[in-house]
Amino acid sequence: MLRFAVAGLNKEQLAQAIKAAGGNRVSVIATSDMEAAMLVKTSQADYYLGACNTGGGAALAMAIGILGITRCATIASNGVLPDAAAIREHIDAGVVAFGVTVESIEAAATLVTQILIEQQG
Amino acid sequence: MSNPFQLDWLVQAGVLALLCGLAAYLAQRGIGSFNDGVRPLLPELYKGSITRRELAARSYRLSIGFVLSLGISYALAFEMLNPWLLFLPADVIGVYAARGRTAAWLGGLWGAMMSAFLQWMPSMVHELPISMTMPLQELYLPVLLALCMVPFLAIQKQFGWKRLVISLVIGLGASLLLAFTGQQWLRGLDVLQLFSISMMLSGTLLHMALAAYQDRKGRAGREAMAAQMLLMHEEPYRKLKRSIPLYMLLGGLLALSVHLHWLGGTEVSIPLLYDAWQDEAPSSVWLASIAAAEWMRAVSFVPLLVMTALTTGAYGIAGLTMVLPIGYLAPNPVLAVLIGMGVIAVEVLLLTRIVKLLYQYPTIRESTDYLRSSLHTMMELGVFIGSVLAVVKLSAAPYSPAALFIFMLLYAVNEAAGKPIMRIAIGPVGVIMTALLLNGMAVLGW
Repeated sequence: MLRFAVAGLNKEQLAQAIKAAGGNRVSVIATSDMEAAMLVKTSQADYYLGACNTGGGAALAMAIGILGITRCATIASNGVLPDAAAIREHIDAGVVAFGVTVESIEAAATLVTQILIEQQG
Repeated sequence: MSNPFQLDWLVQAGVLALLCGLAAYLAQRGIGSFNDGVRPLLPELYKGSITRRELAARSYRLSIGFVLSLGISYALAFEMLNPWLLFLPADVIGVYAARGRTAAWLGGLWGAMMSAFLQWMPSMVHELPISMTMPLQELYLPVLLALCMVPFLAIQKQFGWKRLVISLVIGLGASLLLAFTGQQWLRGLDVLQLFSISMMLSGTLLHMALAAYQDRKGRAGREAMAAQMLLMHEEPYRKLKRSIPLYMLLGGLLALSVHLHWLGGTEVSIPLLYDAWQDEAPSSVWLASIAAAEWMRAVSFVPLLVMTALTTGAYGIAGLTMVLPIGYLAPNPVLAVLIGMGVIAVEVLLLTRIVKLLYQYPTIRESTDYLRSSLHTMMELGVFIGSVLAVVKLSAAPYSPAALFIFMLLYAVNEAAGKPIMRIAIGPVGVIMTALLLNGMAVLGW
């Protein structure tokens, strides 16, 4: 079971997109950015996803503060679509918190969930 | 754009250069940034865990799309500068520059270039055979009406239908009553504007009250945690307080730039100000309704700004953005500067009190997330409807079917390409592009 904590703009939509992509292999909790990042830090959740207008501002600000910059990455920004190869690279590098734009919530959440499930085998 | 004081171009270039130079300087010193995603990284810069080059590259990647789609399109459509266009590049310059002086000079150069842009833009727009000015004023009403619903949508999302109905009975009831009595002494649109002020303020207050009510139990336990967290914030707060004079100077310059119509506020107030500033003397209720909208947005960003500021010792370039409306509320430039400086000083001095409140009432923090989401949803709708109305108005015969067709085609292309232009910007971008194409057709005599 992959445990996600999601925060930021339109977090319900983000949670639903993860559930839709992961079915019964994922659990999702939508909460405030600080709490979601703390859940990951204390290993009560595996991955953090957050959305904002740029994909790297409000979406990741608290996560960067709590988890550190090396464990956070923006995977969709304005005009840049989420890319499977780049996401895999981030996961391999130990990234646990992802920032996306509001526009790419569906696409990014689906892609991240699929890749993580696939890597879990 | 009519400049109420006929100030010299040199003065404008000087003020904007000072504004951007100061912003870049703050980013260089690690004591301020506009981009919320850059602020948490400023301490890392001084710890040495990230290089200036890396941070500048990251900052650039985060802001380039925003500047290109929202910054430029809003500046072109509404003929005024916006904070993204001024300060996102200033952030990049600041974190990249090795020395404070270099950052200040380069930031200043950017500010002067923005002044040149502001000078050149109106002449370009007004020389077109088919004017965009009147049509873009159409955004005013849909945006204002959309904003009225923001806090209520947020209440529904966070607390459900029952609380929404209760809030609506109170908020809408009071607003209607106020508008009804306002009819005695107000004329025309002023009644609607009074109604909107009341809707936005009462809705936001009700939303925050509901959140505080949710947290009425267990405050004592959180009090202890808050005290502990406040210890952690002590050092950053000392750093913030040391920089107060610089933040105040920024606040004064910001309020002055808004007062002189060079700079609008944020995405919320820009389309509204565009309409108000076409008027020789917009009524105070009119301007107050715009301020109410801007402050509602500011509230939704307070926890994020306060938390990042108190963990990093770096403040937001526009503070909590409360200072922006001072520009159009202040009666003259001198007062705009003075009140602008005062607002920023009060903000910084209140920071630890605000953060303590946020620790005691954690649901309020979450409420602002919902407020921001609702603001985003309703602004997209308001701006889009307004843009459609603008296209319809733009397309006098014989171009009306062509105009709508071009606008829809642009929208479809953006959707197909994965929305490189944000939804909130696609409307104004569509209007500008449609207007340019129609002007091309008019010139060619099609």
